[in-house]
Amino acid sequence: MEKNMMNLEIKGSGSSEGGKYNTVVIKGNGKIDGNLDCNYLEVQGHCEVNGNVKSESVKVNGNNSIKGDLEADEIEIHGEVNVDGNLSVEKIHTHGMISVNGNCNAESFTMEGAFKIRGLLNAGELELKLHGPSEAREIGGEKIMVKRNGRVKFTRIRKLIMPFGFDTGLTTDIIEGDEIYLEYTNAKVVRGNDIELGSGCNIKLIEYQNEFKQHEEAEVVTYKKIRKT
Amino acid sequence: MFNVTVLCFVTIKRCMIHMEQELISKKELLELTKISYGQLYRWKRKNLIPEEWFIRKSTYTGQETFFPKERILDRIEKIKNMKGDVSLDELANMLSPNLTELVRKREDLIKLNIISKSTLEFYTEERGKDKELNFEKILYLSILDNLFDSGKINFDEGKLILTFLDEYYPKFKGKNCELLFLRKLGISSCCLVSKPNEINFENSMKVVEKLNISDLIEELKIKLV
Repeated sequence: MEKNMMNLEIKGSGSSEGGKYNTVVIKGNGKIDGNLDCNYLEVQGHCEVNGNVKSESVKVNGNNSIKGDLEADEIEIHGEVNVDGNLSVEKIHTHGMISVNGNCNAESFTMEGAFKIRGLLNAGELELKLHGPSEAREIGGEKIMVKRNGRVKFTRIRKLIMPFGFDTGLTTDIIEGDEIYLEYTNAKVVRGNDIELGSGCNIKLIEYQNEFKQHEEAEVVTYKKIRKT
Repeated sequence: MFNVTVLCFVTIKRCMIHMEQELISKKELLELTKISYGQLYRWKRKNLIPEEWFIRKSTYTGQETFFPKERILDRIEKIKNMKGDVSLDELANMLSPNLTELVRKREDLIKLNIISKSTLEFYTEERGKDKELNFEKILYLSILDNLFDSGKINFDEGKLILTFLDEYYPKFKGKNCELLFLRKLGISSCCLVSKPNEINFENSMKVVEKLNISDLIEELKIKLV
């Protein structure tokens, strides 16, 4: 990208038509009507984009909603991000909530919090630490790890207070990957080479190739080993 | 003069195309090709396997994914064979229907055995003697080369195709498309159809040649790089 491009800065409240920029910094409340193409995007506060966003690096502290696709090399989120289209990124790290209406492609996806993905979540390395109910239609990748955060003592107390319900797990149709570790996951089918289930899982069908381990509190309806041909 | 009416209709329905092809389920595919789920998803992320090949159907275990059998097996074979020499990104670039910004000298094209001498001479007569040809021109030439070689068209019809491509192919740039060469009562014509669409002609219309341009681009890129 050319170096001598303009910067866009919104402090307080303001709006822009979008376009090509070097850096875009929004502190306060910003609205962008159009596509945004930049090297660096930083949102502190609230930002609404009515278009696609393409940026090398994206940093959000607060709330960002995008009506189109989001494409970036690196994304860091503290807060909430809504993407109406597809999300494709090399590396993404989120603290908080992320929701994607389309598909999500990432080489590395680490998250603490909750997410909602309407389409396919496709990631090379996926590390999810759930704080709230999360869902995706399908999850696929190489390494998939889903954990529920919260210390052991704390969850026990929660169980005493709310013995039924309190659904903070992950709900999905299909999970497919090479190495899979799951906790508190509801899924119809899980397929992979090595699968390990922690507590709180409820899975209808497991198909594995090498190894399958199961915590005593994990519920599995059927599982079978697929022979390597 | 002849008075020829051409009747045809185009249906824009993806499922019709899929019904004709033999499908393979994801599970069978992985068993057959000995690749893992991780690899398949990685190739999908890198756009080595186009989105429209993933066909979702409901089965007794819920939604399952199927692929057009012949095409996916061919593609995976290609990826496996080339993986050692080039990076995945380069490979994705080669397999995508986007035209690269590539320029080659005339002599090189003959040397690399991409375009025959007679086709190049034909082109020189039509469009003058440029020393270098860009990828778009090379593509046109290889389309002509293909057609001349199979003896399905004569030079006059070659002219027709060349002017047609010059004018209309840029609109289809980067899309999957097919070139159809048609003949009815000795009158020839050609058209470009974007894929996946189905096109049907009335019976007296003869489809002389159907060329998948995306496949051709793929082949050309592999030869040129």
